[in-house]
Amino acid sequence: MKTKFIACLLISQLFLLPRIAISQTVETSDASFVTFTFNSACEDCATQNNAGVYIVDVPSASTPALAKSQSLKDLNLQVTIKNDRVVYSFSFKPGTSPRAVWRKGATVLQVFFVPGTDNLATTVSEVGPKPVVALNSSLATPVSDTALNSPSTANLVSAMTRTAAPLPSQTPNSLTNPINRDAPGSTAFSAVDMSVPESPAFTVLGVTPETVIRPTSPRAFATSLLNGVDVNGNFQSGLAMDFVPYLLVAGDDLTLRKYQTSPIVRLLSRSQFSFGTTKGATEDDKSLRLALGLHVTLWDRGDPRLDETLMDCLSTFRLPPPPAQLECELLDSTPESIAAFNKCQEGAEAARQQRAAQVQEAVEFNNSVSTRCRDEAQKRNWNRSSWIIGAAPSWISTDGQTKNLGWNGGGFWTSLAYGFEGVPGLANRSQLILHSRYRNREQVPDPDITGAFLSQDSLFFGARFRTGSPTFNGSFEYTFLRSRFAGQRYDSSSRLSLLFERRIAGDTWFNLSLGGETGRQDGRNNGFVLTSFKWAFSDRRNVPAPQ
Amino acid sequence: MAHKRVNLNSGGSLPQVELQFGNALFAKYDVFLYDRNGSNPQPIKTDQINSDDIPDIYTVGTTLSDLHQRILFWQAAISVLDDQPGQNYLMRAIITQDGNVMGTFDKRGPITNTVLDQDTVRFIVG
Repeated sequence: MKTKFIACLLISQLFLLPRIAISQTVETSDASFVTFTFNSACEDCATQNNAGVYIVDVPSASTPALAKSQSLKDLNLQVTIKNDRVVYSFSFKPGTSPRAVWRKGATVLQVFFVPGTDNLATTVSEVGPKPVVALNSSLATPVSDTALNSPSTANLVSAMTRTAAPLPSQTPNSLTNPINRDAPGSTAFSAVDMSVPESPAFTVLGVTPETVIRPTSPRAFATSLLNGVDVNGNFQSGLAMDFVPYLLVAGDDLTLRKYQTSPIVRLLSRSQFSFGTTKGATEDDKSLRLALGLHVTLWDRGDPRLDETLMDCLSTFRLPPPPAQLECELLDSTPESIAAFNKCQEGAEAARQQRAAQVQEAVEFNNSVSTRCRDEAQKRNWNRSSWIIGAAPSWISTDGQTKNLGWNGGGFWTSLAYGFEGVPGLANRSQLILHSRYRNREQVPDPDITGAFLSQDSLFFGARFRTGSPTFNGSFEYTFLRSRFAGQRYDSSSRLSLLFERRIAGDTWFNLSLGGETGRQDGRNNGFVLTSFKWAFSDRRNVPAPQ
Repeated sequence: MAHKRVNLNSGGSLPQVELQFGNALFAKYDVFLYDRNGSNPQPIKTDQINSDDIPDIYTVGTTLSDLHQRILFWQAAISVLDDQPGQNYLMRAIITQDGNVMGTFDKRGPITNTVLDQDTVRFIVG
């Protein structure tokens, strides 16, 4: 319903295009542009130049009014609504160079289609302050029925007429930092691993949705949040923070070559510590649990830093020509130095503008290359074979008070993943993970006495088969569980579960795990449903400083 | 802003510049030598990458006296290799002469996809 409403709103705004006046534009003879006018500063907008398609990504709450210059013909504008975002995309011809310029305190975005960068310096130098003009544009082609009937995607093909547009002078600081939220492989959203890694602390606290822990790449710093029901049927909420000490301390000195050639450095770079806490929220379990965790990646065939194909792909980056003139300095007061300084200053501004255009062109090209290369690497590597080990001590306060924290045993685990390398049909889509975990002296709620706890030792052997895509995957998991309460005999059982993992938006993932146990000697074969959200923080501020 | 300075011993040998890129990021880079007025760039090394077996160290100039007041310029296109949020880049140039570090020059900042950065230093011989 909301999506339909937004789509209608967009379409109605496009019909109103002829009435929209564009302010703060400067008339030139041949520049073309599209203008997005927001009611307030769009703090969460992003633009992206991606392989012939220019993208403007805005929050649906900040839907802008659109207009275009009359000289802009054959504009194929596509409007896509994705969750709480509206994405405008339009292709541009080879040889043109789209530029985003924010005005009026980030309330007006103008995307200019300027000629190829070979001509850019000349064009820029010709721009001067000229009178503001009002612009009338009209949609020559009405919105198609298909577009009107499509609540999620409106394809609007408009042929637009005459012109009046500026080509603003720019500095590198005024250029929009390109981020494509939806491009596969984008740094903003995609993942070499399928999602945020399981926190080692959560693993030992027994509140990860999966029993079989998959090998994942540690993040320099990540946070996980959990809300759900644990395998004992008690509601748990928790928070875990994970970090890689080596990267935090020695990241500046870690060169790519050092990483590639030193197994010790790789080991340290992929050794993750974590701190996690969970809190029971029911009368049966008010306990507060704390855990420290260590997660070490011993071997990973999917490590992007060891991916020679990725390196070869990135080596196609472009560097701009060196500046014709560096910043002018008066070295001393001799006549020769003064004359040289004056001569330098004469050409400095033109050189600066030329350099800015060349840098912009290179950055846009490199962003596109990097995104494509990492997307390809992600598809190559997400399910490659790897091996991790983990360990975590833990503490518990059965009444939930921190002053009563006591030893809660520890856990040790290892996971070995096989990526079916070289196996047709499975190599790119599937992964088999074998997992083993030992947990001792874990304090678990006594199912017979409310508020009482029992000490439990447990041993897991499990296998998990994953298949899917980088944004959605499903797993089937089988675990053999052998556990005993203190002073009692071992009870063996099997657990079957299904796990679905779906990327909701950005680095936010939703996990659903459901299943049940069989074979317990005490007859307490529990079913369980555990859900969790996982996310990682990132800096997504993409709007340049307003001019 | 004035170019940074690095002092060289007039009795020493030619300096070397080593480029390093922290946080195990990928980089492709150029190094140029300009005249004392900041013009006429001469390539020292271009289109180099930091992921190959070639050391990223280069000797600068032909004679030490000729280097006085000349400006060393380097630029690099740096890229992340994975999706980790909150990444930062560090572009570091280390100027050495006869094995002694004469100056270290860092440029750093956040990186989400690629960054193109540059830096300069003026040689002072004497």
